[in-house]
Amino acid sequence: MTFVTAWLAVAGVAAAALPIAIHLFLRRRREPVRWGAMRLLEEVLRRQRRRRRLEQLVVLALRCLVLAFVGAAVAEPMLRGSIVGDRAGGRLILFVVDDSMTSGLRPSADAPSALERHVDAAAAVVERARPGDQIGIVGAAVPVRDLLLPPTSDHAAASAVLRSLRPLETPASIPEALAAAWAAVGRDEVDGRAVVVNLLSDFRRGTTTLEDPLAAAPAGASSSRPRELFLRFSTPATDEVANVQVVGIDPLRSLLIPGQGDGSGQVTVRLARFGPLDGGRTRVALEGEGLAPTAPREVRWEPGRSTLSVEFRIEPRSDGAGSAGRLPGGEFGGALGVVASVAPDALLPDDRFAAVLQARRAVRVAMIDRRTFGAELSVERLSAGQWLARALRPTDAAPMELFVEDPTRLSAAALRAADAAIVVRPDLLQADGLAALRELLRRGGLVFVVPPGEATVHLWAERFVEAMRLPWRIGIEVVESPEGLVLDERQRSSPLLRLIEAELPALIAPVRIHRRIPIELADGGGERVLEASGAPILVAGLARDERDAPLPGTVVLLATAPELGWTDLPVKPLMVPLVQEIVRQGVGLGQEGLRGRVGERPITGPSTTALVAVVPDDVGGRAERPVPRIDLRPAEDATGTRRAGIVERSGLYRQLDAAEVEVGLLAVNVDPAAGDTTPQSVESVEGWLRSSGAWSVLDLDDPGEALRSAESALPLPWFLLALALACAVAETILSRRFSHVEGRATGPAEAAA
Amino acid sequence: MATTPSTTPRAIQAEQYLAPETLAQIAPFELRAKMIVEGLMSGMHRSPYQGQAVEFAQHRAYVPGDPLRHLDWKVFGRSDKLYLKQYHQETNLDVVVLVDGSGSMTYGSLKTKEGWGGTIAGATTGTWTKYDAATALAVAIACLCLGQGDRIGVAVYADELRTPLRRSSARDQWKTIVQTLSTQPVESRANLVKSAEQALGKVTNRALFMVISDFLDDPEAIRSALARFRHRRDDVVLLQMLDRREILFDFDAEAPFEGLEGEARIVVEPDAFRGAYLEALRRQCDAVAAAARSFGFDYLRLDSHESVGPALSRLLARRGAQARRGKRS
Repeated sequence: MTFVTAWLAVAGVAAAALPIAIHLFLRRRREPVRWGAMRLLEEVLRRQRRRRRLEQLVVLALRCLVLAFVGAAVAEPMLRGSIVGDRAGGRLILFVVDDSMTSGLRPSADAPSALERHVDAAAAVVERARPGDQIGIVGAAVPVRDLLLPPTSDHAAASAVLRSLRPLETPASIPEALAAAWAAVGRDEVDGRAVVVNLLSDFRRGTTTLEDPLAAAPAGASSSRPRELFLRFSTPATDEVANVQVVGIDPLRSLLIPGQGDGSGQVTVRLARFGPLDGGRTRVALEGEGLAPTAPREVRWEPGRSTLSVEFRIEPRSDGAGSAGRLPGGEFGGALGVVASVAPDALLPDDRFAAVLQARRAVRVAMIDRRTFGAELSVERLSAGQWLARALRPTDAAPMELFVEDPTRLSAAALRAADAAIVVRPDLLQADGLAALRELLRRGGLVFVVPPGEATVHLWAERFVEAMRLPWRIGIEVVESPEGLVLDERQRSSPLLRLIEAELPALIAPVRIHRRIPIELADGGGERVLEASGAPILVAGLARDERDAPLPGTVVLLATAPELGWTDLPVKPLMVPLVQEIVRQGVGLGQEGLRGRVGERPITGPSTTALVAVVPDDVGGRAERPVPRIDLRPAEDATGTRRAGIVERSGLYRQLDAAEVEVGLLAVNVDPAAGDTTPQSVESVEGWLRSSGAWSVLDLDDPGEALRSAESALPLPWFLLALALACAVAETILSRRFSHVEGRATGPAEAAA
Repeated sequence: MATTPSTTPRAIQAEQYLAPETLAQIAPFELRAKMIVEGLMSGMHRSPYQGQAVEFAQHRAYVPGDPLRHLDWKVFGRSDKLYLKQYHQETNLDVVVLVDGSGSMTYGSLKTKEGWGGTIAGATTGTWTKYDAATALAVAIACLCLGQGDRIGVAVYADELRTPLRRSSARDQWKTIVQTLSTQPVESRANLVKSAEQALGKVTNRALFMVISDFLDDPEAIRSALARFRHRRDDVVLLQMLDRREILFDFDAEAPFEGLEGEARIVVEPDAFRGAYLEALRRQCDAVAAAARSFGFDYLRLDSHESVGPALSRLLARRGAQARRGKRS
């Protein structure tokens, strides 16, 4: 048998021996007194009989209590000894350390960050820990990490883990971190031990908003739970620290086509700030690989204002030959990484924001339609494909490259070079064709579908929706409107038509729709871009993959075939800008879908297997920090580690396929909410934490207070042994005092009787 | 069975129980009978019989048949009426001392010294027992009575009367008494009722009974025995002899207590018992005293560690005063 502590065993033996020693000490042989007035003594004894019975009961109870207390005190080390042996003797000290983005906040250049202060306090606690104490560490930043769990008695290792902590670029999930701590506390081997949980954070809003519910700490009363639980949280920060962050880069056109004069290259950089909202100035820069240099701009904050926007104009870098510029990604262009940054402040990671823009010489559009041969037909007999082709290339100067693919033989290879696919004959698509369209969507491409004008029953719709996993219901029968449906004058705002929103009412007014297929959208299943009397005419949405994750590309469905038999749209002024915007914006939006956020698995192209950081110029003083290669493959199988595929640092990344060939760029940014430096009051933090247990404030100047509290708490075996000892002493004294009759002598009177 | 001391008569000096200072302390006093006693000889105590004596009692009208020699001729000469002249007859006193010889009387906490005692009880324990003190008291009473010309007899009782009861007014009667007491084994339990009946059966005339005992028996039994004496119109003095340790219970450490009359052994924690014991003792003494007073008898408690002279003197003084008040009335 092993004991939690050898002291306890020795104390148990001593406690058992003490009453015996007292008994032997008090036991003295005395000569009997031959006494005459025995009748009086007997009378006294008789009168005290009731009292003696009570005394005997008291003595009996004391004896039983002695056995019970000793048994309980000994049982605990016996039970625990078989489980964890001699390791289970000390306290369990857990640190839930906030290493989120705001933990790296430095009020001034020479001041320690919150994380550094917390690590120092935790290290001081570890230094004060006894050899038998076990240390556990949980990192609270997302993703929550069990940095040192199960707890270890190796205090040097614990100190090393603490010293290795660096602020991540994610918010914290204190509820999840506490749940991990409670799991460690609730383990069987913790039974009966004092547990100290130190929650070390500045509790700024970027760390936690104090809204998420907390799991309750394991109760101390249960036999399978720790006996004493000491919960301490560090004092929340009270100082307001100014933090300016770049929260977005919004290009006017998602697809940059140089030389068009259509707003391509116009970029809005959005800024936000926390802390004192007084006046001030911020210098904003925008730069990117392959871009012509743009001059930094200095913006002025009005007092009380927390957001600002700054306009930039970007152009591909000129090759000096007088051309429009050299596009990235080859002849037809490709992804263009840009980074907006502000001057370094108290919090560095949100001082820059990366984005990937798509630059094209021209948009390559695949028309999925039957090829037509022969002379041009009259206007009245033009097919939908022909109308759409005219709308895409109204002139030869239009930046559209159009090629036709037969729907019955459509394959992924045929769409490899396409940015968008316009499906005019979806009824002729085969399984390979549908798969090719999914692959295009996976790459961020656009799929624009119109119903075939020749069909009267649209059986294709169900198959298409199922293949794309769209939450839509499309009727198979055409709805006739002989008078012609009129598009609603007020339409909802949509990114697809954002640039023609102002002219849209005038453009849609003359359009009449005589035939359409009914479409129903489930909640959250997409957006109604155009409506006519409440009926969806143009809808957009995201297809989903096999794991029900949305694909980056956009699916756009027009409810009416752009033929004169269905609608007069092809001959109205709306036709060209509508198709042009759908294609150009749709392609750009799909590429925007290829993005990532720190702490999450990014949405990448289908062939991407790894990410490699594009080490930027020293923007924000972070260039010296190595960025590891991120392998996305372990996340593909179920056996991958928990952190596989998670991007931990913001910036631009090159997407590599299995052959280590670059297949695109990826922008990974921090969650702007994680940079909220607004302090929160002690009362609000305490009120939030109270739902999980009895928390009290940990003074970082005296981090050992909780340990002393745990020290002063009398361990249960000691308490039981003390009770047993007290009962034994009381029993010895009282039994000696209460016992009167030893036996009955045989006297002459009895003999005579 | 308890150890029975040897009953072989031993040569013992009677003076070992009669100190000269005791005699000196009681010499000024007389042992007076509170009641009218029936003696054989004339003496200092009033007799129930009236006749020729020196102490005038009363006049009574003559009734035919009365002896003429008792007529008061002087009254007849003055009043021409016939009156008889009556006198109190004074007689001697028979004193019977009943000494408790039960086992409890062998307790004594005072170590004996050379020249003290000599009873079997005292010799066995080596202490001045209550029985020794009772013997000294009986001898003192005997000397007092003999000095007054009264007859005195001593009997030892326990469960019954153990010794013959012979009364005598001979000068050396007290030595006989000492010899009787010192050679008598002290054992078994006291039965005062039975012993009283036996004593009353042997003493047919009214007498003064002086009972020396620790009176630790049942108070009701004591009362019953006293009722028998009262029925015979005998005078009784209860002399309760207790050892000082019995009075104070000044033990300081727990010890087993063994009864001298075969009672159970009791382990006693003195501190826990003292209060209740002293209270029980007080109730016992009060009960004995109350029983004595209810019958008009005297009661005196004596400490065996002290000389019997002063206590006996107080008793005699009290009885003398009561006797004088009774004669005046």
